Amino acid sequence: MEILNAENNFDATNIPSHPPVKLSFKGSGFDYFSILIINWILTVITLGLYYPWARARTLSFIYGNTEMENSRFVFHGTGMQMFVGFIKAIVVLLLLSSVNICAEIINSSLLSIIGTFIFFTGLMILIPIAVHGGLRYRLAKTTWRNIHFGYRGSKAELIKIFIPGIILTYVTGGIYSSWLYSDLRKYIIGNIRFGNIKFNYNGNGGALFWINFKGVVFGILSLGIYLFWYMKNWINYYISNVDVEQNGNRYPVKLAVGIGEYFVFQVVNFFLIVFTLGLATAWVKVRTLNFFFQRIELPEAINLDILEQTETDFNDATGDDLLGMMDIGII
Amino acid sequence: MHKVYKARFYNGILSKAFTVEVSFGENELTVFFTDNYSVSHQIVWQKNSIKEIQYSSSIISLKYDSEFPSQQLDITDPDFIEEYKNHFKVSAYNLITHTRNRNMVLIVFGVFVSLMVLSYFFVLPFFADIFARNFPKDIEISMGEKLYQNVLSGEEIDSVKTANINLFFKQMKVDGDYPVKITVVESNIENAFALPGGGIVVYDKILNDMNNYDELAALLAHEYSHVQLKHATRNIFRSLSGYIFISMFFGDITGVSAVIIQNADQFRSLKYGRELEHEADENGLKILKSNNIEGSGMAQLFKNLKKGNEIHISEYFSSHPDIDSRIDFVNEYQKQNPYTTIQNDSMKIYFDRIK
Repeated sequence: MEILNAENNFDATNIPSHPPVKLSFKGSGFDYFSILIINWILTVITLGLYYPWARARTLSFIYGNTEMENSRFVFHGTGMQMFVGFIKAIVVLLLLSSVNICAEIINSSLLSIIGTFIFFTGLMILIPIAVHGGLRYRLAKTTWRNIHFGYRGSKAELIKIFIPGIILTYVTGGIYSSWLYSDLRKYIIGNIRFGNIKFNYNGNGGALFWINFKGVVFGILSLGIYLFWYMKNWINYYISNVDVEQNGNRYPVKLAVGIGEYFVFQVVNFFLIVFTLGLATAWVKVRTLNFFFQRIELPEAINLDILEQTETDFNDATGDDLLGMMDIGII
Repeated sequence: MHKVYKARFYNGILSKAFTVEVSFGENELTVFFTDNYSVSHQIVWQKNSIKEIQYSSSIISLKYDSEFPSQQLDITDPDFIEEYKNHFKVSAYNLITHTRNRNMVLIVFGVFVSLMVLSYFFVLPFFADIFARNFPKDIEISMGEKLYQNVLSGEEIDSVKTANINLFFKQMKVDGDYPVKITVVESNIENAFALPGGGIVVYDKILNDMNNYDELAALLAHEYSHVQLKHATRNIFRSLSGYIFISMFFGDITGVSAVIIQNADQFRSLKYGRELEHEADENGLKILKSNNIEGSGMAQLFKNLKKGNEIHISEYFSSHPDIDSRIDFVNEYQKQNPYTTIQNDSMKIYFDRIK
């Protein structure tokens, strides 16, 4: 191994410039369809028990077909880890609703009020914990050229951002959500590592609020047609405010989706789903990945050959499963 | 000498890709490479420590799981992928999903869907029905009781008519041991229905339109048949099983197909509802026959219903059979099963009190 490492001892600044780094998706709609169908059949005949394995297989397919600089990503999570996480997630959710269940059995309305309070308070604390656990697992299990991603955020910090934020969002009738979203994103993305690469999010709540505000007002005035602009603005803002940091230098990620192409993309997706009764889901997903991968440009100045392994392994999938069960998507 | 394949090697310390060569051995995979000083090296991967992290028809990724971080090999050579199957066990899952023969997936999919459609239409209703018929009677009755209180809360109950209609029903000889409890509710709707376990609700509008006690006897015979034949329970089990079956299948696919399929399921349960109504008509006529009550009361009852519901909807969209065909059925039944009728004076008295 010494010899293999030796040839990499060169200066990062001497790299010749090359075109922007792009992601590409190598799988076909049919490949993905095969995965979904077999997963679906196995989930049905095992009465749902196969679900964690199906989830691992699906992620593995998506990551494994995503290519950057001629190398594929790999998802290392296993169905077994996800199954154990799934069981733990069920136990956690059962515990949260245990008072409510007791209230139902002894038919007590006071207990039922207490139970509901416990359930929602518990859920409020559980969401950031699940996001934290989910990020740690998902990122630790993702590699590219055998270099692991990682999440270094702290659970307590995330709770400190999330709980006051969600209360403020509630009190302000949803207005604060743009700021909460920004804060969360800043914290989460700022704590993602990819070897010795760091990521940053530079967006702010005010700008996001303005996008959301226009979305709601013009969305209503235009009877929904503005929603295409809204979604396009949102995605562009969301991605273009991320930058990649290597050796102290920060390089922006670029995404500029035009309204025309976005409109066509969404309309075609819609018809594909509706006219096939959902059978085209796999093709739509692959189209979506291709659409964004073709348009996202990673900074060319970044040197992907000198990433060092910095992160550790993490095997607890409970957070990831909780997010799956609560239908919360991360990143 | 074993065949040698080109591969990319990642050492787990740095992200640089190294071009190497690999070859299969009996119990190992050997990695060959030449360093910057033109010195040849080889790394041996023991087979039982090799973990497949990616398998597809275009790439295989393997890792050597000795310790974290592991080493990784990516091989895209189609000959290697072919040869790999001879040395390593490829799971059935990967064989099916990554076959070059796409028909395989379509055949598996087709067979599975056909099996499911068959079970949806034949196996599932069969078991749901067996389950419902064997459902413990005391649970059915206590469930029905709760439902009954729910249905009646907020309704205006006519207690005099309720008392008399119960006395009227006591005059009828019926099989089964459900605790029958009939309630008359004030309403402009021409309707009556039965709940699981013995509860029957009659809206007074339907009573006001009656002229003869045999019509009331026919109505109660019909509603009691629903109770006796466990129709409500059977219907609940049937729609519940259909619902669970469908959500199991389409819950994970997309919302669109789930909505469409669930609506299609409605038609199936409407059809089942019509079958149950027909069964209750037939059983009701048997009850009338065993009580020697004129069966034409049932035909008259349907005529009253028809007058009250001028809007005609296709039977296909309705939970009840078409009224004209119900009337035809009653007439036909009477022709086939002639019997002598006996005037029941006490029933007549209670009927007059209700009127």
